[in-house]
Amino acid sequence: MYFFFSLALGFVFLNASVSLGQDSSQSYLQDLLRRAHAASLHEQRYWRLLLHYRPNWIGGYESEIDEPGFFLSREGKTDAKAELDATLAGFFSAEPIGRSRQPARCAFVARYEWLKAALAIDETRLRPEPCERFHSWYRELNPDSLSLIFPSAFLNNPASTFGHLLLRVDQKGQTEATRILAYTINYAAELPPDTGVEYVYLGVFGGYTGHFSTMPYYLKAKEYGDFENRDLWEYRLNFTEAQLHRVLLHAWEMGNASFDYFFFKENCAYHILALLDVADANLQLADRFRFYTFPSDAVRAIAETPSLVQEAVFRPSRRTKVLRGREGLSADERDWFQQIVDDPNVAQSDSFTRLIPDRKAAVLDVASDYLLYRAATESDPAPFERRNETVLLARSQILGPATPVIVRPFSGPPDQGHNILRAGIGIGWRENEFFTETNFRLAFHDLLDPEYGYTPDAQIEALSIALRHYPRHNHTRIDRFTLLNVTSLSPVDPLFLKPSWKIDTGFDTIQRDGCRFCRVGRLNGGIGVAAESHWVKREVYFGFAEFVAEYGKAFDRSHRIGGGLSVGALADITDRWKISALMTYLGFPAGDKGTEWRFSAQQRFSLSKDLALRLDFNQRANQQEYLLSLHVYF
Amino acid sequence: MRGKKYLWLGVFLAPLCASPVMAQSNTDTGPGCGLGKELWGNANNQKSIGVQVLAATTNGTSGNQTFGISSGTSGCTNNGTLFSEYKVTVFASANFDNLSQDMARGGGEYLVSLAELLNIPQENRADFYSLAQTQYRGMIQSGKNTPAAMLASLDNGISSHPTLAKTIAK
Repeated sequence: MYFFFSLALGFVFLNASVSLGQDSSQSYLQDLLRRAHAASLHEQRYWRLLLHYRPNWIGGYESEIDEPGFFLSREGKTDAKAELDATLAGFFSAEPIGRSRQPARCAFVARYEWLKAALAIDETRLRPEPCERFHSWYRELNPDSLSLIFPSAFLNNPASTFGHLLLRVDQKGQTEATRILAYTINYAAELPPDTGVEYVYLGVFGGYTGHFSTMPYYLKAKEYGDFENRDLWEYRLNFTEAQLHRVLLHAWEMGNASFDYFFFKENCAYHILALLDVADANLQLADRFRFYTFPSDAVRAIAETPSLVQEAVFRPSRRTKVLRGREGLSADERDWFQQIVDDPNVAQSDSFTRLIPDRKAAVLDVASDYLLYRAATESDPAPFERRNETVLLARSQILGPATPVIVRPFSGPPDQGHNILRAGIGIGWRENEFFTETNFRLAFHDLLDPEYGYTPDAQIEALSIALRHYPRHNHTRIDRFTLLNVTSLSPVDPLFLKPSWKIDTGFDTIQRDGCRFCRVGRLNGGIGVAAESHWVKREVYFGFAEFVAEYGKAFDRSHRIGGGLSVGALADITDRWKISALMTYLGFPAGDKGTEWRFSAQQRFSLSKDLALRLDFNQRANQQEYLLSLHVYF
Repeated sequence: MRGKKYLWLGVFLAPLCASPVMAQSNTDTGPGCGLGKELWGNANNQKSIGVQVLAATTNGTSGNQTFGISSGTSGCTNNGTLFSEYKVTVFASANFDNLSQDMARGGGEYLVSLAELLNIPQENRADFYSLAQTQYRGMIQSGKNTPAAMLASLDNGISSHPTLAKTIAK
């Protein structure tokens, strides 16, 4: 009887304590919500950073994150307060959420840490949550500092000038030699395996989805340095332990996020900046990029933030290693190099083995690098891999530790390159009258722009326009417009043979047959060769076979189509002064038939990183033009 | 093609990284635990120029999903990082060419990093590097040049080395 009575009492107490427990959680949650509302936490910058809220056109906020699993509230994408409330409630629940299937406290560790501090949350009043997956990931990263990694442009692929951006989580106890073992944080879009031309459209208009991933740096170093032959610049960042911790917490949260990938605006650079912004509310890096984000601009933004960058380290691509390695060989050694690359058994010949060990090693090292370069870039790597084996066998016979080699970059670090937008003012003289000009270019870099920080011999111009005023005629007009102008010069080299090419489209103004200002649309393409010399500093010569199609009222039948040849040269006279000359002969068998000579001579003198003077002379048929202008890059 | 290069690698390395993934019929061409096509599917000469151009910046398919943060476990990876037991094999097969160079040279960041992964104490590193050179020679001369053979030959070398054998807990 007493037994049943005490059992019943036990049940009563049990039920009471359970519902009291639930009531107690509920009341604690209500308490937290009340205090969060009182402090308007949902309006704080940090909350907006963690949820990636941006002001939208109608005066509210919208998160850039497109994955529903990132939000605990159905209105989370547009309602910061609802999301904060749902997040607080979520901390009391063990329900797995989002793509990563973790309880809210573990999925959103950064939100939890921030709210815990802001509201002095008593963790003992929440259910215990070990978040083992997060902690073991964090332990595995073993974080000490962050580096920003910028792969520079491909040679021969000017579009890669836009570059890429990723982070590397440097480990405690890491040395320069073991940095390849560190993990990276990388934002990229997933592409289906058989993508074709729709790539361009989908990439620009958000047709792909982007995610964050962490993979060992050696995989990225291999992809960029060995397969794509892009030099890497590594910027060691100066974050405090607390700042680094915040970035990594948020990176873990990104595991539940995905974004529509927009090639111009919300690309890798933008999202890496948004991640870094979490380190410190004052950084405001991503805020500066509203319409488009060029990775090199992002690097500049970081480098210009006081004391954020500790140092910039250069990591050469395999191609750069080969070029610099070959430079370090004497003429005889270069001869050996060439022979060994063609027939590695030469390395066992008496005359070669008689060289001093250091020089033998140098020759064999460059030979191996070159053979691996061929193996990675040719469609049939096997012969090169076999030859490399023989070379390395010979190399292994030279005992003793390898002497470390310093490989110098061919251009300066990308953050020290000129800014991308360019505007100019100028005065000129065209066929016996003066004119004034203003010009503007959205992107990116032409062959005469200051080269420091840019891949040499590559030009991309997009959306550039020039406006002229002719006082004598009281005439103002758009003189020329370039939609796209890309030139890639690849100086011939016995080791690296690639054609040079160019395309160009837009319109110009010409004088023809009594029409003083005639608009002409142009489409031009060319393929050719280039060569390089070092008489003064550096000179590049090129020749193109050209194709030209022109359209305009100035022509009989409104058009002419033809082709021809051009030859030209670019020369660096001093560090600040570069000149170019170009001569073109064209024949037009179709449309308004005829031939035409063109000649231009241009020079640029740099006043500072973002200020330059240009003096141009252009002759087209019988029309001559001079222009002196000042360019500012911003 | 790069893909083919790793095809036979997978066969050699399969026993080293046994995982349920291998039980399915798969075209994995990597270090045996499920990495391979995802890594090197981005080979440039497989894509058209236009695709290459944007691939350079959207940085497409190189293992992004495999290494997705908090993506759970799959083959070699755990929420985006590598399982400890696969670190050495993944490193060796992903960096096979660079590691070969370093072994032949008796030094370099790949060899140093491998020593780090193998937990070779600092004071024994010099011995390890010269051992690597010797073992490399032996390996090439025996005709077996694969990441698995490389690791095996280093393993043998270490076990029979007077000083190094003592430092490795077997």
